Amino acid sequence: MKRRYIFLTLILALGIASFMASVFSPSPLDILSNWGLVSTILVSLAITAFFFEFEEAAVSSKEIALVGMLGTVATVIRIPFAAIPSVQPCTALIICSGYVFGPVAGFMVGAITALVSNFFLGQGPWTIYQMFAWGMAGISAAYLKRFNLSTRGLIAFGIIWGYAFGAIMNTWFWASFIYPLTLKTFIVAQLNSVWFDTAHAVGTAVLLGLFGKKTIAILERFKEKFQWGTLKTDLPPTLHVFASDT
Amino acid sequence: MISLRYRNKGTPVHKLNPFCKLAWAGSILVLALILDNPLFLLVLFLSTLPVIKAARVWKEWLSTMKFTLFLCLAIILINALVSSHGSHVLLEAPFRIPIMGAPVITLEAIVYGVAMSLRLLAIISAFAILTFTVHPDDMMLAMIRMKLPYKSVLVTSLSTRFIPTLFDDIERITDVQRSRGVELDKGRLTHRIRGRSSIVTALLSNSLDRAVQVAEAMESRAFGTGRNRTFYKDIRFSLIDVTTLVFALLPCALGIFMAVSKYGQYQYYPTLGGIGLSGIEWFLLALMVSILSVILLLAHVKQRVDLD
Amino acid sequence: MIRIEGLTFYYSGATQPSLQDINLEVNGGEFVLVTGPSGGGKSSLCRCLNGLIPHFYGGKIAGRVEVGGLDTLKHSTRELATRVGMVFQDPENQLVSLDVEREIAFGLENLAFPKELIAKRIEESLDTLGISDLRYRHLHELSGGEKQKVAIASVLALHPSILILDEPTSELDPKGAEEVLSVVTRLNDELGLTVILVEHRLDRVLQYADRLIAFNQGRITVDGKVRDIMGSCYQELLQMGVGVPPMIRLVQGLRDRGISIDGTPLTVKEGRAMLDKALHGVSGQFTRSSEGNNSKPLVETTRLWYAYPDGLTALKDISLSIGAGEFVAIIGRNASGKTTLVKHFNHLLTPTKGRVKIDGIDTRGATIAELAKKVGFVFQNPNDHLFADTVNDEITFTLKNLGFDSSEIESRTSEVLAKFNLIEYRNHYPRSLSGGEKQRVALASVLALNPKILILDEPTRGMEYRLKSELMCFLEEYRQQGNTVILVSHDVEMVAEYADRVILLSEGKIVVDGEKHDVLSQALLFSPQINRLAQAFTGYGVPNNILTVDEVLGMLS
Repeated sequence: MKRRYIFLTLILALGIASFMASVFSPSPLDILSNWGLVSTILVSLAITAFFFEFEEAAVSSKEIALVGMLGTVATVIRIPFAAIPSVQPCTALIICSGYVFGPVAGFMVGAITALVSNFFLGQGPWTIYQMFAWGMAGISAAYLKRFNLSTRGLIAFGIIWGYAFGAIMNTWFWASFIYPLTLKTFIVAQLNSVWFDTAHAVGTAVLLGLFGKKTIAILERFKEKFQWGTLKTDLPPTLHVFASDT
Repeated sequence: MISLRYRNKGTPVHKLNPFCKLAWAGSILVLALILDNPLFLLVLFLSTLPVIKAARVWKEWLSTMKFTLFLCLAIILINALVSSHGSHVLLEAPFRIPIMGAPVITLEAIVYGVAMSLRLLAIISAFAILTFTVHPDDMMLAMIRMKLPYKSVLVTSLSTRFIPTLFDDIERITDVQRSRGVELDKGRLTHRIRGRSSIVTALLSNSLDRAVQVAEAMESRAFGTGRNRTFYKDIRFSLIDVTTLVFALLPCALGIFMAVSKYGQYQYYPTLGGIGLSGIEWFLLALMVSILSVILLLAHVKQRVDLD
Repeated sequence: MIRIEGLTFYYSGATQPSLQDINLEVNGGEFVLVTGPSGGGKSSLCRCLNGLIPHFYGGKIAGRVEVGGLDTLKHSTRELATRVGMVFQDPENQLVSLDVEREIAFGLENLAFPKELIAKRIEESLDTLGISDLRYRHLHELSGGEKQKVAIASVLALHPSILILDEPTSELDPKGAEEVLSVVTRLNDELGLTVILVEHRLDRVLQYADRLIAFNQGRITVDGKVRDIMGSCYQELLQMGVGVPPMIRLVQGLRDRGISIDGTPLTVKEGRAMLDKALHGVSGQFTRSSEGNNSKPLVETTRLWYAYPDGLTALKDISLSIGAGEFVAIIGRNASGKTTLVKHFNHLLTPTKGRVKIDGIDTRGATIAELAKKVGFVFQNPNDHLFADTVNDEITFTLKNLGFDSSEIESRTSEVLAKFNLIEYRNHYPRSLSGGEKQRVALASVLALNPKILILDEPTRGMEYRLKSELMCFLEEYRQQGNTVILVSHDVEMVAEYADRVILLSEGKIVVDGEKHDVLSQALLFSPQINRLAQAFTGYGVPNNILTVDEVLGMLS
């Protein structure tokens, strides 16, 4: 039995139900057309699903320590800048982490950064949206690896995530506090934070442009050491070869 | 140094079972998102204040609120600008904006914006109580109790544990780099960014080294693969805790009832509905406030009982 | 208890073995002291004993390791955890929880022990370590020594019969180190735990250990009873760069001069008895190496006060003057204000009251960057210095910051690389170098500026003896060129050997400031071993302010 399918089904069902409820309004299920509420539940479900994925994927203390530490570094570089809403140096680090260590680690680093830094900055319903947004940044960066991005690609990716992060946060804002929920108001809500998002995008792009490759190199160097690949040549007969198996 | 928002002030609110506070804040979140009658929202917001007061976190709360007011302003402005459903036009702009057309500001939209600001204030106020009075550790215990996967919780707790360590690291590395002529607050922007990056790079490399050692230490203390483990610390539930939890969850049920039966709703568009409440609505409002306030009463009872 | 047969191990990707043909047997209840140069195989051995090698590290392994009857190849680290407890060097990195109680519970929870048993074990290990008062404390509030004790407690809670400690004191101040080592000896003595202790500083533990093993280049080079080895394999240990305690160097020095001494003393008390005859005829004066310094002051503080933003007053009314060509050591307990004081010398901190002048310039009017050309500052951990991709970049970074032109940068870099034997590493990644090489890179990056004043904040903490003496010799040479060296240190033996002037701080005030023989003699806590020993023989005419082995031996000839 795969937990991920249960979550996927739940998320889909709730999404569809919510959509139906708003189409066939009024009905006894009107509560499901409360998008502010429903989106919060959906995002929480998605995060929990990823947590379970991590439970199964990360079998060893190595991944746990690594993800924990990367999350701490991202948190520590986020907190001093939090007073200025546009400066989020952690986004660049989360993207590099996902790029090097894969989707599950990438998601976890992003999610942990949001959760832990908000112990210092203040928790709220926005925490789960931030967890989701940064988590997705980490995941998507992992899939970039296939394209072996140049620095220019990284810069573009930084710009995309600067805006995407804002878009996810604005969606929460829009669904909870704006009426009516139409495409028009959605766009306006998105434009609401356009300055901050631009600063976030530019900042992330600059950081990735200047230091992205270097950070990735540091992480890659570490990954090579950390995985302790197997050596298969020149074996005297008595030597056992171990790939680290934990 | 930057520190946790949590301070143990030893008030009855701090001593409450974290689950109860989580449930209580969650209930307020649900209620705030379900209700849209401004009177209900106002009362909801107001009912968080006695708890803030009892927890003696006024100062912290006020600083949070200052920041929130900007968001409120944004809510009011956006609603005023985008919604053309109202019928009492206060102002009509003589120009057109792409997508939106000519903005029409109506009384209804402004009232809606104000009501939504109250919604936001209630939510932020409720969660501020969590941030200020629940230790992250207890939050994580609660996560374990809720059967969230242990490894995720462990990663979170590990991360929280190393934050003070890494702040010390930053301080030391900053001293090193400043001694080597790095200027963090002067010179050209690229210069400053490079200076900071030298610090972050050293920090990152140090932390990766730490990660290996942490993993080794965990292995050495029997952190193996996927097998069962027990939990020594647990959130204990006394009778009072259970009662509190029930009272913290009740408002949520009440909210769902109101949503289904369409109480606590208000007509904003096209013209504002009357502010008057029906008898049953007055009753529901009173009920909501009293249930939400029970938490304070129970907090005091708990303190008494714990002392005995 | 432990049996190792023909063990050879290669880390994965390594071409040189880290352990080579090791045969070793350790009996239950033994206290084994393990020493040797870094990279010699000490840590690898520890990791073999609890299965981290090969289960965590991978690599190639041959031979057999049996611990408490379990073959470590076939049993995982998790299974071995109840037999072998492992304590690491850095207390910070082995604690994973937020408070002490949960930290101790961590291992027990992993083994799925029932709650009641966990509660009992926590109680027990807190008591054994004498840290019950720390039970509910948060880990980040504890001192290094306390953290290390918590680490030991958390391992003991699993009831291992073997306790392995891999340089447990090298990150600690002397007080913390003392406490940890006394706990370890007590565990061996009273509970009969088998202890394997890796240490650089032998003087504190020699008397408690049953056996000494030295590793060099992956092989066991010395193995035997402590007293025998200190008598017979002394030369071998010195050559390996092991820090042999001064008293034993003295004994051997006396023997080399044809004076016979019965037995080898391990404690000062034994030394007093055994050396009684040998030092009977020694009297007179030793030659003081340094005379008073009258050069113009380079560092001057007048009525310097400093209070941290949180209100703690760290420096109270400090007035001092340090001249060109001086070698000054600043000593004192933890939190006595040593580091706070030296941070004023390059304007990392600005005085709350009073003033600091460097080479005649008031620091208030100068930036750190401007002062960096005059004052070099080397911090304890070279890892905090290193961030660049290559050794070369690491050194040019500092020069670029201070706006040197490119030809100057080029020439200075080559010069300093040559001086520190780093030319062959100039394109290497600095963080993958060995500890000693990293330290040299950090020093080189600072000295590329040719500062007149060099400040080092505990540069030798946790460093093995050989690297320490290399560093000190370099500093001595640097001082000979007319520069000033200011050293913040806990290491009294080293200060006694190399400094001329010692400043003792306590609670932010200068307690004594003077020539080292006057400050360090008869001072209980801050006296070197030889001085403590000499106190017994002042009646014979041995000067009571003698500090080092060479001074004693110098009086003989």
